Amino acid sequence: MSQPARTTSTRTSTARTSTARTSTARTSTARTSTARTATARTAPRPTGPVHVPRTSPPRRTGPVPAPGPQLRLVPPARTTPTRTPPRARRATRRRAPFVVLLVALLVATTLGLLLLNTAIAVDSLQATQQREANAEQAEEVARLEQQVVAADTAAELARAATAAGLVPPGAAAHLVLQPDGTSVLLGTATPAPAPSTPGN
Amino acid sequence: MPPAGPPPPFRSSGARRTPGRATGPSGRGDLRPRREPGARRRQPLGMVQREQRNRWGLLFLIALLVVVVGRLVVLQGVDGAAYAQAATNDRMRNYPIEAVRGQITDRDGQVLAYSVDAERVTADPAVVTDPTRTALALTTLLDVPVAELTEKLSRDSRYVVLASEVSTDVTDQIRALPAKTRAGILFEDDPVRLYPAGAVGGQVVGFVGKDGDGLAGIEQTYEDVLSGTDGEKRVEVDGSGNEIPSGIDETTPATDGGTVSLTLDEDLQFVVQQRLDAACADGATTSASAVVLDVHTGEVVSMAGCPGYDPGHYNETDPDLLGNPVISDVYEPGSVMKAVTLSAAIEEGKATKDTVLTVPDSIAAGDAVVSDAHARAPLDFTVTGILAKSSNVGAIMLAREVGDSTLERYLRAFGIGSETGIELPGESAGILEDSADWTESRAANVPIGQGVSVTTLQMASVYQTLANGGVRIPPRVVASVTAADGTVTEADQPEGTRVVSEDTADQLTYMLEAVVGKGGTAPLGEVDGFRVVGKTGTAQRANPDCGCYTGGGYFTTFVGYAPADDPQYVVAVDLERPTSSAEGGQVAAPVFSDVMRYALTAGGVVPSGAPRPEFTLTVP
Repeated sequence: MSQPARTTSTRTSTARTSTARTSTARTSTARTSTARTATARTAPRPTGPVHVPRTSPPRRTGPVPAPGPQLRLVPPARTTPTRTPPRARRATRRRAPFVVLLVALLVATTLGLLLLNTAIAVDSLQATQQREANAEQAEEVARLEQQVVAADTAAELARAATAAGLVPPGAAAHLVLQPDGTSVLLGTATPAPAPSTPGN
Repeated sequence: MPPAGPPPPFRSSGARRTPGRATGPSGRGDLRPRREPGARRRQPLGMVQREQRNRWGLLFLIALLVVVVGRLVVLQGVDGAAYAQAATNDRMRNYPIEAVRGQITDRDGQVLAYSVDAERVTADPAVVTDPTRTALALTTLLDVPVAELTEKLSRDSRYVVLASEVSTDVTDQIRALPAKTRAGILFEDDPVRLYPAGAVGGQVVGFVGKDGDGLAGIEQTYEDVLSGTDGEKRVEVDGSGNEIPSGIDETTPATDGGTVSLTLDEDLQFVVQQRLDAACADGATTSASAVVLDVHTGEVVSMAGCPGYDPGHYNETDPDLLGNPVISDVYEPGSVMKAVTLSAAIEEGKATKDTVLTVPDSIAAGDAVVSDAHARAPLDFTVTGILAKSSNVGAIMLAREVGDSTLERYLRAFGIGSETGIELPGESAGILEDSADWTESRAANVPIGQGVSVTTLQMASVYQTLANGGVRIPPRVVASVTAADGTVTEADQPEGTRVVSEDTADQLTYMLEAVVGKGGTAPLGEVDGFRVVGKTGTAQRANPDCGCYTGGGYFTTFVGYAPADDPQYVVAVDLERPTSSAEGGQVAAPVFSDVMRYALTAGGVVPSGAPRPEFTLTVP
């Protein structure tokens, strides 16, 4: 563990110092400091140098032709896209019904909303028409009731009765039965006077 | 930090290429050229400067962010509710819903007052295109002269009222006019109050003013019940003002007014009104009033006065007539008050119906002398005879036996000098002085109904007490109130109070029957077939010109009830006759008789057939 760690540390130290310096110019001192301390502290780690070219500085190392092994490390990145097509094909096969379902749902929702909105609008229109008709009917009823009430008053009845040739009654006589079975005539029945203006 | 980054790499990459070729193979040699471009970058901005600039930039951005977030908090958190409310208000429209005013009906549900929809036709003259054409189109529909309409429509104004209380079928016709003709014509709700019975019961029902508030009668007393509560339609609308079907709806419905059922009977009311109108047309009678009470309940079956008025045309009536004389006008009742005096005497044990008194034809009372209607020698009258012959002297003699304070107690117990509490505005309590303040002449006048003022209703209530076996039930005119939701609330029945014993009341009924029969003062008060009980009154009317009784004419009254053996109705009639000296038995009794006959016949009252007793009026 300790031997390979040393050798790699010397190699990478050169490479890193260069990257570290360029990076100071670009970014900040913080990175370089961490890089340096990282090399010092994490020197025993074997994975340290392997990871560096992969992740952060592929651009920087890219143009440089000298480090061969670092370039070799790139292919794994190439291999991953070659692996993905079968996965994607499988995924597309799996996704296809899902997408169709989604689209169908969307279309159905849109259509449903449209239908519902139309239905509501139609109902609302009908309700308005019904309400108007109702109001008209109510007005008509009110008018008719008005006629009934006006014709039902005592004064109007008296007028109509007079017009029909009726006369107000005179004094009424009462034939009252007594407990012993006899009857007593109370009051004098007088025939109603002939109407002054005979009715139709 | 990021903004400072991007430019340098381009330069560095360009700088790298040349040195990269030269020192390409050697791993360490390429460090130097890389430094050079770096050094070039350092020249414009040093590390410290850059850092400072970054910090300031950061601070600036944070400040901006703080401002934005702060504003957001203010908008959402602090003012948010107000803005949301303003947005809602912008989408909401309010429409008032007017409550329909309740009906007033008689005891059988015959409508005496009700409201119908109508509209007020107004115009915005600024929108009217052709005033002349519009006026011509409207004149026949609105029944308003063309000139008046043209003038209104040409005014420099934004609002003119063309016609009020226009029925809906007319406004429908106006709405059907061509759009150009009716441009600028607007409509407002203006419900109209109708009184189908007209003057019949008008004084009781009252009327409603222009603003829809009751100004008289039941319309005034029951304003709260009748008017109901206005509602409001509050709905969400779209841009063009149409209601959104499933939008916000915060409508509060209107609560229509309740229906007030009176104890009046419209048919009887019509007869009474007709009879009074006839009496008022006799040339001598300036005003008259009459009231019919139900003996057992104290309900007012009819209440009328003449001249009456039609509540539908109250604004065309002399304002002095817009009252209810039955409860507002006071007069000196005259001899009808003797019933109270005699009740007191009998209840106090000072006399019975058969007690005999030697009655002279006049009696001294302080500085005055009170005499009977007809001069005669002193006679031995029974108490019945005193009432039947309406002897003033005999009544005063009995009153002196009773004593002033006791008499006043009885008068007040019968309801004289205090309001009856009937559900009508403008009731008068009448005038009754404290007995302590009575002068000797006043003490002699009160027992015979002078020097004391009563309303017709109070007088009817006195006789209701006697007819009801001595129990007085204050008169009431409202039977029940039906709310808009159909709940019926019966009007409170006032408690009856015993004023005199049943025996006293029976004796009074017996004695009062003698008045109407043979030998009494009011044979004209008879109702054929029935035994009628009643008392005439002829009181001097104070002359308003001199404040004295000279030339003031008379108030003639008749109050009574029937049938004598089982009283059902009390009728009180009062005629004001400033120019005539006719007595109550001659002018008021016939009115009483006609009203009573109709009340008994229509009320289905059948005479018992019991014979009328023989009365002993004088002892030889």
